[in-house]
Amino acid sequence: MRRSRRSKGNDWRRAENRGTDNSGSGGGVDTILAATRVGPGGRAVGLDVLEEMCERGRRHAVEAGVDGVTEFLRGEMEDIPLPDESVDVVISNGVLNLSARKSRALAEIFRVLGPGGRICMADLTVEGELPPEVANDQSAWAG
Amino acid sequence: MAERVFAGKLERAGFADVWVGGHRPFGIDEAALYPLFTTEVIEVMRRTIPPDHQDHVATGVIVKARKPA
Repeated sequence: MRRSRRSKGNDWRRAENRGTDNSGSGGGVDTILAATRVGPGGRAVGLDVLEEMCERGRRHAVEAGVDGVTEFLRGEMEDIPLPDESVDVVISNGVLNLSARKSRALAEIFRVLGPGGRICMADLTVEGELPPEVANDQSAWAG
Repeated sequence: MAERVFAGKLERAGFADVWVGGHRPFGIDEAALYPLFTTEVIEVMRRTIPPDHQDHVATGVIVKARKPA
């Protein structure tokens, strides 16, 4: 889902000194967009569980000319490799649903955000019950 | 995860001013674009979910919240 750019942009512009964490950064598109909106001294940090995706993000950041204000870290959203209160904004685009430990992931986001920090997430929700064949499938249960 | 569960998890994590909006239907065809869902799961969804619901099996949302100062 790629929506609410305006809202995200408003949040990113608040990231003046510490930066923005993009959990589940994938190819780095959202991290690069965040990097264009951080304030002086700020930076955008992409987090992905796969080193290959981090490498891809770094390449894309170079191509976009924002490699000086971006960083891509390999890690899990349930154990974010960032210090306490080290970022101003966390964005996440369709990633939380991939976690089997969503409460743990949210606790980690809370930990790395500074006081007054903001989170903006795009994700899927369901209404009612899923068919048992879907709900019991390992590839779908994280949703 | 239901929307109310999502919001509840955020509040239990300590977040304030939880806002959920930007609701948008999400159908099986869109789910099929994601590697998360295997071909078998997509086929089961098409077989078991009534045709008139297949274009809205989930809802995309935007969620915002703030860590208290």
